[in-house]
Amino acid sequence: MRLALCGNPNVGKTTLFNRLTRSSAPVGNWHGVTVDVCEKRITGTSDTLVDLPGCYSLTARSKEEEITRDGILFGDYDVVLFVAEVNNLRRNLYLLTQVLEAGKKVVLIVNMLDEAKGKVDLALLERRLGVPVVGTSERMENPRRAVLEAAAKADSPSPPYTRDVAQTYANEARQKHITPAFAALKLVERDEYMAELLGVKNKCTCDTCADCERDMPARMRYHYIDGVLNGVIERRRHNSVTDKIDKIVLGKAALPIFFLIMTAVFVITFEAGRPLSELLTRLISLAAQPVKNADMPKWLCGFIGDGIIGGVGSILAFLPQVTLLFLLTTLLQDSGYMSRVAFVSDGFFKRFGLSGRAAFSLILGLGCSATAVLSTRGIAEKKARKRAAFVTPFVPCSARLSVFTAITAYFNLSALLVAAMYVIGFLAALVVLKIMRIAARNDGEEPLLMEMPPYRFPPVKRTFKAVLKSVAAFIVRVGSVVLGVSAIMWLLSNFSVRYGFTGGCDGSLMSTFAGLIAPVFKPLGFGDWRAVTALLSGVAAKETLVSVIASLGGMGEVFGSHAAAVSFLIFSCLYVPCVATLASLSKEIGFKGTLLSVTVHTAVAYLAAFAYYGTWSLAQVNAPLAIIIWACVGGAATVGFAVIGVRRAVKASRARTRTIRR
Amino acid sequence: MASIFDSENNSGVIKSVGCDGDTHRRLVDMGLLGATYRIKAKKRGSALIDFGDFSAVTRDELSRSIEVEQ
Repeated sequence: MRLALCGNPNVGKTTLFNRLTRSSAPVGNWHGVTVDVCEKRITGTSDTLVDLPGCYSLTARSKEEEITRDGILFGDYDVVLFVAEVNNLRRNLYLLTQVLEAGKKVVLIVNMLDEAKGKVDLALLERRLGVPVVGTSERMENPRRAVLEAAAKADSPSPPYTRDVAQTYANEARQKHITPAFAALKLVERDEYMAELLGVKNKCTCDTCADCERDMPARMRYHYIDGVLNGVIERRRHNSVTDKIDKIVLGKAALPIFFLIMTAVFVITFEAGRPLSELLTRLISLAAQPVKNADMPKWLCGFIGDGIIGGVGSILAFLPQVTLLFLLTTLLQDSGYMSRVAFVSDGFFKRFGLSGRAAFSLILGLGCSATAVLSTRGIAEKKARKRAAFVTPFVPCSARLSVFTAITAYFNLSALLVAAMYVIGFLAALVVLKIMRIAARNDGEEPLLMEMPPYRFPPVKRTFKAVLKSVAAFIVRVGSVVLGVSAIMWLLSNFSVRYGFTGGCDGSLMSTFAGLIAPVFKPLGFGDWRAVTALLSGVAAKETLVSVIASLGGMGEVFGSHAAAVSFLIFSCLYVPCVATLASLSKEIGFKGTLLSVTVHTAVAYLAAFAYYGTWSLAQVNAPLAIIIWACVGGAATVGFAVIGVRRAVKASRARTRTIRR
Repeated sequence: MASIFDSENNSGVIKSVGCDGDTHRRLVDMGLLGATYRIKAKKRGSALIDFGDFSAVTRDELSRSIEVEQ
């Protein structure tokens, strides 16, 4: 049997998928975790299970909803396992009615039974709907057997209201393998996809959508659902815990609380992780010592000691910090707080043509840029989605954290510098967003209605598994990409075609190649070929920035001064994202968009690093002049903002006057 | 009829949704038609509203187009 999991967002589909197939697809207490199809075999059977992204209706508005609509309507599934949340049955069953209208065999899985606010009569629900119903929750035993038994008995009863629907275009619908009733209801709803599929002109001619006949199918479905649920569930109370927490975290102190939480995340990450990180550095250094002194050819000692142990070790030393960051961000996401950030930041992001939903993707970028770019699929408006995907890689990911920490630790710079890198990343994203918004002439704004999950205590087992998975992925990345790139870069940097092993690195293949590009970076303070080699390797994975520098002589030799190191830090914070992120970008904004993104990221990184290093260099020679230049820049910016403000005020005043005259 | 945006009691029942076609469809699909509402928190430009079974952040432009009975 081929089974498909379907349902509204955040009802626990992927958690159930993981339990039935013993897999570890990402899950979380927020909407839009699953953005693509995931297929696995159900443990101990030959049946396959497909996890479809969540949606509210079979009228698709975003890419992930299109995947689900096409999967349900045209996928070769024997049974649809429809997952509904026990406290949200009325709304969840709205999608179920459409799956039944489409003539699909269904099993209803009522999830999160342990969170039910009152009694639920599943047997009555089963009788009324005419499909098998299985109740489950994460804390109950694995429902595999019950689900498979129910799937064997699955049925596809048409909801009674479909009998009263005038089945227009029935032949066209049958030709496209769609039930006439479903097609007719979608045409009444003015579903553009259905009209196009059946070749029907179906534009709405109403002045307003309120009281339009297109709501007739929705009213029929809800009338039916209300009848089905009558007596099935007790009238539930409001979620008072969520209300109480929301009153505090979304009240007048919402922004200070948000900044306090984010500051706490970074302070805990650095301060609690530091002692372990220092211990790991010492252990790795001790491990490399015998290799460096071993009785082996000099190049082999250098290759193993510097190229492999030194390179990989320099990244592994930051494992405690990275683990803490994974843990804290997972806790924030699973508790439901991260979604609230969308509400807190919506007014701010509106100025940049996005909704608070984009803030959610940007914050996800603190973990992994590639995942964050894919998460922008949840933004319904196409242009806003593309803009959000374009700027998301500016937010420093966890891989860049190890770069920031390594460089600041080596030069004994303030931890505030690491915080400053995050500010620079977010600022760059906002500046580029603003420019894109102006260039796009203010179109493509998303009308926000974003659902908030209830607060939940993150399950210990699931949190532990998620952190373990992220840490394992980090170690695998270090053991594969970082190790491979470090080794290759060391070999290319220590051998030349003419002289063989060069030892001192100069004259090697990489020094010749990177040396050609290095002058471009001289104005930024790091015109050394080894820094350029690190930047080139960083495109494969950002962690290699540190490992390659470590294997080619270390920070002190490569940068020479604190200012050059800080300039390198700024550049590496903003320049081209890694290949995994580029692949995600290519999926979301196309090849041309990705090329433009690479260009913009590099240009912004160059300008920012130049602004910093240029100012520092000038200040060394003539400090007052540097102050005057920045004062002029600041003054010009202030005047610019003031002019914009005055123009807006005048416009608003004129608009008010016009309204009063009318 | 008042809209959510200018409702005096901050709670009531949604009677109709009158925004542009695509947004209208989305709101209806999300279950707003006939749902109860209660404004939980307000910020500049948007509000967090409890729609009975679920809560959602709603921009003021949207709140203005959702007609309610208090």
